[in-house]
Formats: sequence, structure tokens, C-alpha cells
Amino acid sequence: MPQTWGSAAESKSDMIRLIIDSTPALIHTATPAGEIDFFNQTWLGYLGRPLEDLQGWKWTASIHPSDVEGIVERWCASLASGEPFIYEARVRRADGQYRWMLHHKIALHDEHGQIVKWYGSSIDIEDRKRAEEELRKSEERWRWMADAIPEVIWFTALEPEKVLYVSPSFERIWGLPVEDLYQNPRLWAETILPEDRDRVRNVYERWVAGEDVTYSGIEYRIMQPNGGIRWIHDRGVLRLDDQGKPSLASGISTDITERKRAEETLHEMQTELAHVTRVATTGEIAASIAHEISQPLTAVMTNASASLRWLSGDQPNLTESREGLVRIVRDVGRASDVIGRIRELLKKSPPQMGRLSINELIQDVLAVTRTELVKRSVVLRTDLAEDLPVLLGDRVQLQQVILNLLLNGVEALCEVPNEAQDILVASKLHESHEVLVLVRDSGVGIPPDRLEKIFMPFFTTKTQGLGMGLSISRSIIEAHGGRLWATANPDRGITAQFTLPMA
Amino acid sequence: MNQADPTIFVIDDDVSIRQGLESLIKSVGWKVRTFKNAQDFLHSGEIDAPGCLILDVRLPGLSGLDLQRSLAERKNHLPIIFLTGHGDIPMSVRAMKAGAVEFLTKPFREQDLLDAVRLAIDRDHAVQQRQSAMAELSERYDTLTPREREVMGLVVSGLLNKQAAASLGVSEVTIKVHRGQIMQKMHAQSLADLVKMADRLQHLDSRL
Repeated sequence: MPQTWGSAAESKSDMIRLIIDSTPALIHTATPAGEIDFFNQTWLGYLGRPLEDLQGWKWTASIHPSDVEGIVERWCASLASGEPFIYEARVRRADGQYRWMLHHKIALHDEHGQIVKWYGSSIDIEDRKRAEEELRKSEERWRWMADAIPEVIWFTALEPEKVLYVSPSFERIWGLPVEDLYQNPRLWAETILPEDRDRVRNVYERWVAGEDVTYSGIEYRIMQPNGGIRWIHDRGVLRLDDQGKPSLASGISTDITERKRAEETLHEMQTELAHVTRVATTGEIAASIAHEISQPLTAVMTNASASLRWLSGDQPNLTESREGLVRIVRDVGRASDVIGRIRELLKKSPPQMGRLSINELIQDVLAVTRTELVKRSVVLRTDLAEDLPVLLGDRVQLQQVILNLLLNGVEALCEVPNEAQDILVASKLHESHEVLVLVRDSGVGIPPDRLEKIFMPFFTTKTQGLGMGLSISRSIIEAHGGRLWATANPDRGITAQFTLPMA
Repeated sequence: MNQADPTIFVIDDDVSIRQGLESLIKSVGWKVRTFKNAQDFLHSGEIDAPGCLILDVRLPGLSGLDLQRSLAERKNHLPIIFLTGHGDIPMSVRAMKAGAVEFLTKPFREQDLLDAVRLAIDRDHAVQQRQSAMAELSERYDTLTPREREVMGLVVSGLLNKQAAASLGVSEVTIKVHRGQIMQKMHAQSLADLVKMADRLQHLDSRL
């Protein structure tokens, strides 16, 4: 080995020179005045120029025009202070391509602390720079999207809980500075209306704790600092760590206030429609019945009067009066035909039997009556038993029955002003083979001796009513093999209830 | 005098009601004719007969109110009693405004109907009488010569014979002769009588 050394390097200084020139690093030195006085061979090869073209300050001609000013300024600053020089600047390669380089120089001092030399090295960082640029552009695109879309995009680290990012739409929807949320992650839950808070927080906390719940399609209301209420639709995804534990939650919150308002309007319209339909149908039936019955009745009355007149007087006209009586018999038959037809009509239309959940049915009816109940300040309570068996029945007919019982209850309530107005709708298993549905009101009530009469056609206790609702309801329930009856509550109001056999 | 006997026309699509009404009205001693719809009545050629009309509001084809309007357009003043299946207030208001005598809801009391018929016949009779008096008056007026009508106009407006003569450029005697003819042709007992007739005729003119 010494022989090899001996042949390759005649002196120690030559050996060092050899190392410096053959290393892949870009090495250079400068005088205390800042003039570059040495570039190693790697550097000269990279630049494709002899030292004469580069020494002193001529090297600046190889720096990218946009970076020249910056590098010279920084270099002068280091020369003045003696602090290490670090700067990124593009340098033209021999083939004319500029590449990013990180330039680094440190000063060598003599025993008096005077700078005697600057030693420098440069590293090609083009690839890193490009990657950085790509990342920056990508980041910019994502940021632009996040900033621009009306939804709020959020990222939260879990354990410890820390909001990593919230898009600026948060300020528009919540009316709060984003910074507030960064400082206090709990602010989000605090903005949720108390009525919705527990429900949402419960789902959220179970979700981020890794329980088997999804945080998707959660709807809640928030209150802005100015008191404004907004409806929010929220959904998120979890990122799990190596142990499968959630480490990051991210999601999108959407302002659905307008949609909710539209839904409410639609809802009101539906309720109104349901009510109008009910009124119109009963009104129509009433008008039709009135006409159909009054025709033969008129004829009977007219013929009877005429016959009486023909019989009275000195010379009764038996022929005329008998003809009148024949017509009376005919018209009485006609009237009873009409009644028979109405009865047929009411029980006719065979039920469209299908499998159904009684609770779903109740919820459907409550959905269309909710607005009406709110409008009349009626407190609705429900007590729907879970796991009720599936029933066989006609959905529309049974909905009509429930709607009818409910509206009857509401109307009964409205006749007792200034009292606590509440209605209970409950479902439960009854005698193991039946489902029972009851509607209990705290309204005016009905004397016990008249309770059975309310199911008779045309019996009504209401100032505005035809008295057909409960009668029709009972025939529907009986067609389903069930029973419908009413009992007086011990305190106030009545409880109307029906049973339906299990499928 | 058979011609003057009132006829009660009944229009109802319900045969039982038609027969019942026919029998009831006959039992009172009135003449009655029944129709099952408005068109049959309009084409019967009897619409100008004295009497009254008992009309169901709801009729197939031309409704009761349509018929009422149609009769009014023909200057037929036959009094109408409406029958309706159920109290339709806006409809009855329209019918009454258009001159109906009564609006009865089925089933009605026979006495209410008979009272209404009696009222309608009386009203029709009065109208008929007034109309025939007017017809007679205008018939008489039609017999006057143009010159006589001219003189009548001046006389009833209060001009003396002398003034009328001057106004027409004839002698006073000529006026006297015309005046005598007018009084005779018009069956007027006095000047006051003539003035009254002229007044009524003027009403008729303005109405026509």
C-alpha cells in the first residue's frame, strides 16, 4: 500500500490535491476579500470552464440571472460578519442547464481571529427542489380547492385532540374565526344547539374512540355568535395508526340550512294537503249523501202531501192517493238502496294487504302532523315498543286510522284552552298475539255512556264534524281482524286504541 | 177564460219528484205540466203561457240558472221557484238577484211550496195585467195619425190650443178637431187621463 501511495502521490500536499479534485463534491475557496481563487476539478468540469473564466467575481456569470443579486448580497454579508455563508442559487452547467445548488462556505481564522480563507462546498439539490416545487403546487391546488369550496373541510388529530386544518368556509358558516377553533377544539361542540349536542357528541366520541359507528350524514344545528341558526350536515373518515387505533379524523361539514327550510315548507304543505284531503273527502261524501238521500225524501214528502190532500175533502180521490202511496213505497226503497250503496262504498275497496311495521306507520303519520301539532302547541309524546312483530295490513288505510285518531285527539285538546296539552302515541305487544296502538289525549273527554256512540256513523261531539271518521276507522280495523275502542282516562280526556293481529 | 188559467210548469230530472209535484199541484186544483229537462220546456211552445215555473237547479244539460238567464233574454217574465238538493248559498243569491220568487231546499214543506206557487201566480198575473193594459194602450196609440200624435205631444206637455196651433202653423179649430179624435181613439175621459196615458207610453218607449 505505501508503494501505491508513493507512486500516486509524491507529497502529502499532492495527495490532498488529488483527493479534492477527484471527490464528487464541488469544492472551492475564496480570499478574505471574497474573491474565489479555487474550484476543484469536479466544479470546473461541471461548469465547463477554466479557472481563469471564473476566479475573482467572474463566477457570477454562471449564476442564474434571477439569483445573482441574492447570492452576492448574502456573500458580502458573510464577508462582513464572518458568519458561515449558506445560500441556494441556480448554477449553469456546461450543457447550459441551470441546476439548483446549495452553496456553503465557512471561514478559516488565524491566531488573531482574522479570516485568512473561506472554504466552500456546493451540493446539487435540483431533484429535491423539483420535488419541493411539485409538492408546493400540489399543496396549492388542494389549498385552493379547500379554500374555495363552500363546505368546511376539517382535519383533527386525536389524542391529544388538535385541530390541524379547518377550511375558511368555517368562518362563513359558523361566524367564528378559524383561529378560535385551532385554539379550542371543543368550540365545535359548544356551538351545537343543546337539543342536538348530546346526540352528535355521543356519535362523534364513539366514532373517534374506534367503536363500530360511522360518522356519516349527521345533521345538527349550530348557533352563530349573532344568534343565527344554521343546519349542518357532517360526515367524516378515520385514519388508523399501526395498532389500528384512530389517529386522525377528517371530514366535510355542509351548510344545509336552505335545504332544511325547503323541506320544512314541503312538510307544511304536505300536512296542509293531508288535512285538506281529509276535509274535502268527508265534505264531498257528505254532499253526495245529502243529495242522494234528499231526492227520494223530497219525492216521498211531496207524494205524501198530495195523497193526504186527495184523501181529504168531500170526495176523496182514491185513485190519485193510491198512486201517490205506490210512489212513496218506491221512493222509500230507493232511499234505502242509496244507504246500502254508501255502506258498500265504505267497506268496499278491499284492503291492499302488505307486511308492515306499525311503528314505521306511526312515524309516517307523525311526520305529516308534526307541523300541525307544533302550530297548535300540542306536546307529543311517543312510547313505541321496540321489536314489535311485523303485521299484515293496508298501509294507507291504517295510516288513515292513526291520522284520524291523532287529529281527533288534537281537536279535543283545542277545546280545553290553558291546560297542559299533550298527546301520547304508544305501541306495544298485547296479549302476546296482538299489537296495540293507543292515542291518549288530555282533552275535553266524552261521558262514559256516550263512548260507544262515537263509533256510530254521523255521531259527532264536535261543532264542525260529520261524524264519519271513527265509524270508518272502526270498519277498517275490523276488516284487518282487529278491534277499535275508546276509554275515558281517569283524569282527563280519552284513550282511543286498536289492536291488530300478528301476521 | 181557459186561456187565463195559470199553468204550473215543473222541470226536474227526477221522475218521482216530477210525479209527486204533479199530483200535489193537481190536488190543489191548478193546471200542471212537467218536463224532465230545460230544453224540452224551451221547445214546448208553452213558455209564454201565464203561470209559474218550478225549477230544479241541478239539471242535466241546461242548468236551472241557465234557463233563468235564457228566459230573461227572451223577455219572458215567468216567475221561477227554484228547488235545490242542498242549500247552496251563492247559487241561491244569484237566483234571487235574477228575480226568482223563492229558493227551496229539498226536502221542502209542501206548504212552503204551495205558498211560493201562489205568490208566483199572483205576481205573474199582475205582470200579465200590466202588460195587457200596456199592450192595449199602445194599440190605441198606434191608431193615431202622425199629425194626431204630434198634437197629443203638444197638448200633454201643457200647451193651450192656441199655442199648439201657433206652434204647428195651423188654425185653432184644426187643433180642436185633432184633439177630439185623440180623446176618442185613446179612450181618454179627460186631459188628465190622457197625460197619464202619455206618461205610461213614454215609459214603454224608453224601455223598448
